[in-house]
Amino acid sequence: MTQRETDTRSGTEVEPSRAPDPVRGGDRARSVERLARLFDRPWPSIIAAFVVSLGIGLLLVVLAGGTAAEAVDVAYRSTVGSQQGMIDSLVYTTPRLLVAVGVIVALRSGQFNLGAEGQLQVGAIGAALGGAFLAPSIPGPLALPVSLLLAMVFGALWAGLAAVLKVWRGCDELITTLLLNFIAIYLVQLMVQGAMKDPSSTFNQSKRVIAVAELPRFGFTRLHYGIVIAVACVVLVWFLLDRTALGLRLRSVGYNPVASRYQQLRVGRLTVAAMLISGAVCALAGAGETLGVQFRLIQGFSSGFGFEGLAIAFLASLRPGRALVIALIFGGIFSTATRLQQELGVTASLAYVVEGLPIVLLACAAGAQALRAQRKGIA
Amino acid sequence: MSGPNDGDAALLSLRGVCRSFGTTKAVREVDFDVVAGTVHALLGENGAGKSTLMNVVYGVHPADRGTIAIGGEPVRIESPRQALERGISMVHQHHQLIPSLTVAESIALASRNTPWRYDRRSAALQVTRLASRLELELDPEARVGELSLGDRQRLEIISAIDRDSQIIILDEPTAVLAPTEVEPLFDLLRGLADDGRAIILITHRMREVFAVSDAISVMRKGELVATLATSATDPNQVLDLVIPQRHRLAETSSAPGVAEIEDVDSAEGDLNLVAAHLRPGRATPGPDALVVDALEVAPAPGTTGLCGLSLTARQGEILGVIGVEGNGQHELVEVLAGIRIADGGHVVACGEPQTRGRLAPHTAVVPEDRHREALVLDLSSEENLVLPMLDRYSSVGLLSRSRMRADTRAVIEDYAVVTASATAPTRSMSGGNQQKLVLARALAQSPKVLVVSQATRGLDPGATAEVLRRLRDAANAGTAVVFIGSDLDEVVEIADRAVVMYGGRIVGESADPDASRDVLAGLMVGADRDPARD
Amino acid sequence: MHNLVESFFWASAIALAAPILLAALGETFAQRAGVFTIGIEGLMLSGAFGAAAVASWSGDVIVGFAGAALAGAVLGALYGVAVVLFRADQVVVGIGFNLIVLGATSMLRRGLFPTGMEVPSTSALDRHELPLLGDLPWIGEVLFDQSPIVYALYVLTPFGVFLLFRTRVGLLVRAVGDGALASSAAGIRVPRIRMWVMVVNGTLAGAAGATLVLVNAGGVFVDNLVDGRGYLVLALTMFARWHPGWVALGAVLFGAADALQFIAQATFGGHVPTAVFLMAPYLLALAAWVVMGKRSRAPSDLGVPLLA
Repeated sequence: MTQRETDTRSGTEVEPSRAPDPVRGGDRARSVERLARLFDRPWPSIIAAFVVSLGIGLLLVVLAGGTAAEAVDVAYRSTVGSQQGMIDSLVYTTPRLLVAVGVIVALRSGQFNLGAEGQLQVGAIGAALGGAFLAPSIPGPLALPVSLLLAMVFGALWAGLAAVLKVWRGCDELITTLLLNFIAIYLVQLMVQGAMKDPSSTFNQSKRVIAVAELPRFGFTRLHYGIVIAVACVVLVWFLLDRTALGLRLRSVGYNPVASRYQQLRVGRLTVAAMLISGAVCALAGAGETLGVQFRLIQGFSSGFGFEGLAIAFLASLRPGRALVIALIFGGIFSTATRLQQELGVTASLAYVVEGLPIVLLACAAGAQALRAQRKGIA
Repeated sequence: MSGPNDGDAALLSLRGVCRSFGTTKAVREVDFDVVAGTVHALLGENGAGKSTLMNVVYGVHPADRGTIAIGGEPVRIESPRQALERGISMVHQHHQLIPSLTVAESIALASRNTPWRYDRRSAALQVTRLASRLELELDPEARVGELSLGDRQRLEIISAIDRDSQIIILDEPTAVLAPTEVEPLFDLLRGLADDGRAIILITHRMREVFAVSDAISVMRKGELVATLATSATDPNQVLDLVIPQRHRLAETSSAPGVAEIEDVDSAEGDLNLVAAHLRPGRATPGPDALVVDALEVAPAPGTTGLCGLSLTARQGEILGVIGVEGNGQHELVEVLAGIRIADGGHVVACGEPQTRGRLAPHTAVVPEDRHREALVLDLSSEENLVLPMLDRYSSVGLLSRSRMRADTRAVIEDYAVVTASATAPTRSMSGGNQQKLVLARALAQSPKVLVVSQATRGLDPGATAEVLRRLRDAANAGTAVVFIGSDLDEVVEIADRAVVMYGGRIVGESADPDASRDVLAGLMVGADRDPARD
Repeated sequence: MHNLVESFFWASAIALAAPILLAALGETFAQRAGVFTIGIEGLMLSGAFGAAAVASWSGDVIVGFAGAALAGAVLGALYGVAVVLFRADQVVVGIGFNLIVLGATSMLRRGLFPTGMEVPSTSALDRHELPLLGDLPWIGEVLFDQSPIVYALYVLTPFGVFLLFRTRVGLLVRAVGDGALASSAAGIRVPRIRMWVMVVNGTLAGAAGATLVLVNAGGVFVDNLVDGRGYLVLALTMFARWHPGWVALGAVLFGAADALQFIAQATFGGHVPTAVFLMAPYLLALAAWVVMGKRSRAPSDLGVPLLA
């Protein structure tokens, strides 16, 4: 069997002979299967992981000088216990949810898009370009759609670059998307230092997005319509994956590229398609922050949404519906952590610990279960 | 040579060994003794528990219950490591070697007393020394991945000797060998037994059993049903033990019954239980449906590639393509499916040339590896079924789930596929049911040419018969069926016409496969050709 | 462009290569053994924090350096428990682990050092010119007027090559990564070897983090100090085809890309924004991937948990 796996053809030919490495493709696909089943666990175990993780978070608050009662009180007030809390939570949910559904498209298609952070960064550039530079010279009603579209195109191209490199040069998208993250972050810095810098400001930031290009807000709160876009994306991504021919093709390639090729699916094109869609959705996260929260392009507007979104996608077993629930929880965690910092002086970075722990715990549980099943022979 | 159980102290002795997988009892209450200095054959149908029993001994699947004793001393074996420490080695069917290492590295890796420093020269010396002791030749610096399957096997045996294993288990060692490599292997095994080792040979080939073994144990449904001295039995008796129902099967089959076994050779195929006779009165073949002309694919380690392969399949016939695996069959299927672009040659189906990199026109392909090539295991039956015909099941890009489900239910019913539901992942289905689904999908495309590769591998008799019947029906309906197989008896059974594939080309053809069985068998192993095959 | 041959530029390149190379050596062994450590970013970050914290407490950078290596080893072992013993998915654990370390180091910094860390003298790790060798023209200035960490790498890199290709340990590591099931069936304790490799990987990543904070950053720890260099290490390990020698060469190239900013003022007159130079190593890594991408053959079981 192993011999066959070494495909020695070099060629620059079209798709079929390119499939240079069915094995690696297969292995990676296998790991997507693993991923999908990894967290396909009953809700109780997911809840248990969150409980453990929140417990540890509580412990950390106590160690940092707060009391458990205070922490619980803050957590309540910064989530469901007050209008402001709910609004904050939803604002924090928005970019994370968008990234999560974006990477779900890629992951379900077998593409390890770890580049959501980069895609949302260039998305922000696109949004700022539209909202602050183009918008004044186009009709008002078009300003917002054009800005969003620009963001999506930028994000899609950024992710598509990794896909093209994979199809064309066999570059592992896992690494290229990681590298592109940092290139994108410095690209934003470059923009706000140079080409897009607001000359009237001493800070490194772009001009302000004009009013008509802003995302509308709910009443007088700071909650913007990004959350509506995010929820719409949840539905659209579910529909794409479950109800369309393209979605079925993407999933097929994601699970088994070799068998997909036998069924005449064009793996290379589908790879690119998956990444384009994924990048476009992830870019909306950056656009939401730029057009709905910051109102200009600034450096460091994302506190690592890209990786938090990935964490949500994993915990959601790569299902858009579950991602909505998990993203709301993450939004609540972040809202709580932010307020803990204001009120108790506990660093908001606590949120990362509380978000990271359940993934590791569940991954361990799933791995151990797979091992046990294998040993018992009931895989 | 002494027979088993006649008072000799057994080197390996199992008592009451049980092993389950989930709810399946793979091995139940087995008592098994192997005497030093003998070759002990372990027979049984697929799934009879032979490999599982040996994996128990080797610690891969530790026993749930029962005792294992070596040289009369009870031992616990819960991992291969412990087995190796007790002097047990196993040569697996799928080689447990690491392709990127060299021969010398592989042996040093498995060795018990490699010093901390790996010295290339002394390791090479050790390989040469061991190999010459066994009268074998192996290049110590060769990469394992570039060795032939036979050489890999020899490497594993050398490694076992290097560890000074007294009990060596071989799981269907000849399944991957060219027939010319079988004889030397048996000489080697005899020599090892004569040195006082115990050799356990898992096989289902009757000829080999009588050629090399001293004792025979037969397993059926997880139980060890008999142990006999080879000299005191004959193939018919053994076959009756392996398949007690074979006479009954022959009676119920519509075709002429299975003949009583006359000689050892023809008994071989019977273990695969192709009982149904499916050949119709030979209809006049139709016009050419598939023409393959001078295909070229570069060889790679372990396969010959294709060198100028040409064949023609006609409408309404089943063309058997018979050959030992690795003679280019996989490449041929890949080219026809459009997965691989041939270095040279043409494919024309129903008068239309194949487009580069696409499936041959009017053709459906059933590749050999169900899990890797044919099915997407995590998709459901209905999703797998529609993959090649998505246009039919979608409009403006939207899937018609209801139509998918209705058609899948029809297939499930028609083919008697056993599955939880049309929406359950195909992973949960048995091999036979998966294969039925794959075949149903291929036929649903109403192909004029149907290429199937190793279509019955790993299937139970019922599913095998069903698959073969469907292929016959397709041929009767006018499809040109290209049946690629490595089991001569099965191909002879079903094919109207047969060609032999060897070294990446067609080396012989027979319009009456049944009558020319022996000639075909010879061609399969390269008779009348240059025997040197790398 | 004459600056590009100046000894100062290459000496800086090598100095900046040191942390990348340290971590990449460990990661090379880890990946050879089949463990794809996305969490190397977190391991380096924990090392950086450990170094700064211990150095600040003890007032001694050497102790700080040792503390970082120890912290890295412990976290590497914990990471190993998840991906090796529990067979957790390596990508998922990596993402989670990096988040946790990022949060934890930031919390610990503010919790334990509310008034800031006291940076001890880092002179022990500063450049020390070697006698005789350091007097060689150009070469002496580039290679032998460096931090002791660089000198350690002169020994460590060839030792890594020797270990990987000329010892039983190396053989085991390669076997475990290229055929975990086969190795297991041949009686090799795959988890045990992978665990040890993860401890080594953690130690070296910790040391790399220590180098970043104590040498490159002058002893000042800031949140997310590693800032993606862990991912550079991953890329480097892979396009250097899992060979310590190529890894060393690649690390120096990264160092050179990093060092560009030092000569930028002189060369480009300060017209190029700093972001370009910060971006340079990542662009270089991407370019290297595009060039090397297809040709490398990864260890077969890289990233795949052993189910046996």
